[in-house]
Amino acid sequence: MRAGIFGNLGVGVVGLAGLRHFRRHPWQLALAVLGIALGVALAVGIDVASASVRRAFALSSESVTGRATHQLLGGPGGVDETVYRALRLAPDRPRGLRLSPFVGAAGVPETGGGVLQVLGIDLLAEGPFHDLTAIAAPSGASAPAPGALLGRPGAAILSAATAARLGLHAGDALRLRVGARRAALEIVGLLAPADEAARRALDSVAIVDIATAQELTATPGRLSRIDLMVPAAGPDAQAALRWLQARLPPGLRVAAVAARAGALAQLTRAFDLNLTALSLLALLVGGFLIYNTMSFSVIQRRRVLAILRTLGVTRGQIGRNLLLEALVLGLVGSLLGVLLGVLLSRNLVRLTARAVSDLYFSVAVTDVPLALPSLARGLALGVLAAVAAAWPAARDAATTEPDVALHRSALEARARARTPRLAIAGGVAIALAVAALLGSRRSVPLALAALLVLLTGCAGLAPAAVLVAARAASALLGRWRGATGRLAARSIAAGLSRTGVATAALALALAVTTGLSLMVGSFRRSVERWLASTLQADVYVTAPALVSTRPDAPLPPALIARVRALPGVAASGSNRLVTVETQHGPIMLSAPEPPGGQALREEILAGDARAAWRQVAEQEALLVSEPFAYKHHAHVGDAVSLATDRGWHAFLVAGIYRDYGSDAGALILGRRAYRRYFDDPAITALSLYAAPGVSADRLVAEVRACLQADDVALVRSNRALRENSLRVFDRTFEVTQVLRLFAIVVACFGVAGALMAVALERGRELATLRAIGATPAQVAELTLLETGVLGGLAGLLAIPFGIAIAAVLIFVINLRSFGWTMPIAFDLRSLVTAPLLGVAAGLVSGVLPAWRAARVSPAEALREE
Amino acid sequence: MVAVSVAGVSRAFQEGGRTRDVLKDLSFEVQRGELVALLGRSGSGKSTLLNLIAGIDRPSVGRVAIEGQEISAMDERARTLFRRARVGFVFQFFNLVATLTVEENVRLPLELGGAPATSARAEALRWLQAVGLGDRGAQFPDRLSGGEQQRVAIARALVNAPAVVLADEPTGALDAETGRLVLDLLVDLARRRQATVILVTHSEEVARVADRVLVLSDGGITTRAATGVDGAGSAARAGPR
Repeated sequence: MRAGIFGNLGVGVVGLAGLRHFRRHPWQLALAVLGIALGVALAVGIDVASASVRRAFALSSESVTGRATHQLLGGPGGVDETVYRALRLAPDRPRGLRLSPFVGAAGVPETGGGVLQVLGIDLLAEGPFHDLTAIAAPSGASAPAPGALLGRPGAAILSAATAARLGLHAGDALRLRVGARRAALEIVGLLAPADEAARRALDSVAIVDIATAQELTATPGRLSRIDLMVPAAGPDAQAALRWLQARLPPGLRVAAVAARAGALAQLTRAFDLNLTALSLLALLVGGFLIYNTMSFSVIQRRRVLAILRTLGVTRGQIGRNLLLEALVLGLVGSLLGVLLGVLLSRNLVRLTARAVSDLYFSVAVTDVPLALPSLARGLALGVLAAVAAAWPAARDAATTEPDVALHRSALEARARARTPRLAIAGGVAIALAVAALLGSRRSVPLALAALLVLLTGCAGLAPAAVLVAARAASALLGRWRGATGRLAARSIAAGLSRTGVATAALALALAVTTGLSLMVGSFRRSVERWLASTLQADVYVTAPALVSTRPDAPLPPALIARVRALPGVAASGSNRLVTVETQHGPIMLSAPEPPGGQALREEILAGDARAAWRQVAEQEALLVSEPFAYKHHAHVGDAVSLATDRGWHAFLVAGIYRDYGSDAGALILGRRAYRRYFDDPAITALSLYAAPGVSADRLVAEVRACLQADDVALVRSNRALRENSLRVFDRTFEVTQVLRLFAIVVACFGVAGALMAVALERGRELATLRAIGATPAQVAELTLLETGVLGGLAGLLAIPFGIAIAAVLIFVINLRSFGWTMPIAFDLRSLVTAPLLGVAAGLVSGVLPAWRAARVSPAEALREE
Repeated sequence: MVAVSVAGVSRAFQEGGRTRDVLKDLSFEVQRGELVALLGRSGSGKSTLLNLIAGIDRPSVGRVAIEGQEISAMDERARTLFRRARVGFVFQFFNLVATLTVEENVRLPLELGGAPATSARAEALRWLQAVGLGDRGAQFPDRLSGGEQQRVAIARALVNAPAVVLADEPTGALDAETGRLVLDLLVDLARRRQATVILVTHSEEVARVADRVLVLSDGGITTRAATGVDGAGSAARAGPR
């Protein structure tokens, strides 16, 4: 059958010879398949996890927006409900324009189980917006009509699946936290969604009457927004929108739902792109592994290939045959990788969702659907990588003359001769990558592509470096370990055709590790400095927030008054953190009020610091964060328009400040100006300065003691807040850690594969050593010395490569993706780790080859060839 | 003095479900300084017997002793250390380590045994001069002709003053003329150092240099006196010089 398949492809028994080669070297096959599988697994895992998070967010947005086409939005205080009544009862309301009031909140059940979207809807107006009537009841139970909520304050309906997840039943009390308040809702009914779409729409949703939602959010008489259904595009739609615009009070605006959803999706684009790029790095290392395997297999089979060529097999047949092998190898590895990736995505989705929730928006991922495009992409990537990686080996095999193919020394001589050319090509690739990085201004995909080219260029330099370093190491090792030391170093140089690629793969993986480690370390140090300079108060009080880097839930005024009156408080400042609409979309805005005329501690990167703060405190000026300035090309003296309660208003940019809190950008507006333009007296954070003789910990205890039963404020000392911020930072990079680990494991497979092949190739040499008196321990030592030196060399190479990667990540990718600048911090530990890790990886990879080498029978030396 | 003693040695191999007897109840002795040719066709068990004498393999039954030490009773490590110190090898395909220079190849057995590098280097050089390659020490084996490579292998086999040199078809990969020169060198050096040589060959021509010829056939062994290159037998040349 197999012969038939290969026969049809025109390779016949030549193909069979290839298959049998791998059957005779199952470990080599297994290492290559595993290498490509791990690379694909990571790419698929990241892809599926990111897609799941995006999908979960889209679904939760959908369940909140329902079928609305547009939304009528106000400022931070929302929309007065009289506006809704006036519009709805207007006698000239265009036909087809439907309105529905909406009050939404995010609640955190005390039983755990993630965030619940609390939808406060007008059950009488709701019909067409959320099709709740189509939802069936659980079998045997009566369907709770949405009307069940009417006239029952505190009543809620959940989907049966959500209730089961929370361990709740009909009639139970659902206790949850909304902002700084605790509340209890009575579950009056459970819904069994009729179909999958309805199930997803109702997942993690609690439906309540609008009055109950207003009670929960302490916003009586206010709406979060008014949902609108405008007739489909055409004259009617334009007429309806014109009618609305003409009647809108100042400060309200109409926004299309699709545009808002798009703006939110943009938030995580850079984050997703960076994750994807990192996963591709693992695949690149996996590709090297395939290249490794295919090169070895050609070297091992040179005798067979030469015989086949002598017998009349054409170059084309040999090349095609090898590519076909790579295709099969890639397909098997990729299929395995897709399976592993699906398993991996279950864990990655947790890490990704947490990072996204920490940085962008609260998202609860309850299921990880198998997105076919993600799986197909992974499969295609793996197969492509395998075939592309096998290309040079196939070309080599096809162009090798039969007589040359018979001599191993000729092969090695060719590899050595090729080394300078490869190094020059690597240098050119690096130069091209640097030119692309310097020449392009803002493109992130181009920068990532340049990074991959840079890495490939670095890999091109590896064989030359191996040759030089192995020669240098020979004398050193010879002095240290005698004949075995010298032999180990010489074998590395002599087997350059195999050791060069293995070293490149390991050096690449270690360079990625070093680069990421330097980048994360530099970033962390910058964040630490930033936190130390901006957090000056002794104690901070905030309401628990759904997004930990965005404490925007208001504190109850009574609580604020109580805390400020505490004897341990010498002075206090406050802040209002809120999302406002700007001409660039929704942006986080801080309206701080430092205590007693103090200036803000923000580091001003552009503009005069003192003048900037005076303008912000006293005039209608604002500060823009560095990411905002980068993304929206804002400069000092420009204007930024905000949708205020008085309508759109342009504010002068007085300065640009350093901020690592949000990559979407942030604004600081003086409290005085904020009050003038927004009808929003709320405060979201208090900063307290302890009275003389009162420690921060004592003040924390004092504040906690004055909290009442329903208050759930977070009271944290300066130190605790800083620690927490850094914990969030570290959590964000957990995914990166997984990626680094994978890259190294993949590279270890590469080194193990290379050394196994070398050990196999040198079977007779090792047997001779055994025959003339080398003990198994000496032969094993020789192999381990080789792998250890190889790993150490890769680790040393990884230092300059890693620094280059870190520089690109910090100065180009980070800036272009997130708008942050920071100095690079050379952390000695990150730099030393690479060679140590290299030696360790080399030694671990060498265990199996060493074991095999030690078992080589000396009788092999006596066998006739 | 008996250099090599093989007594009642049999060696059988399991092949699938059945046992194949390669060597059956062999007994012979080789005197110190004697040059014995082991003659036999392909598959007659020559290499198996060589493996047993080198301590690479152990007999199923019987004992093998070199200079009175029973290597067939030793464990694997002891046999390896014994081989390192007391046995020299010359292979058909030279088996030089391609990544070591000629001089490094020769001193390899000494260094494996822990000899100081300086004295090992001096000894290697001395042996290279003895095989006529004193000026080629810094070169790698692939720069040498087949005959030269085999001369390096002979130097390597003799460098640690072995009790017995095992030469497995040492001329098998060489042309007739070169083979003859290499063989003469081996015999000459071995005799001068009073080394015992067991020469495995399937060639009657090669076997003529031996003092005695052991013929392996059907797992058994028969002894016959060598005819000698001059056809006068080898009795006169037997024994150490």
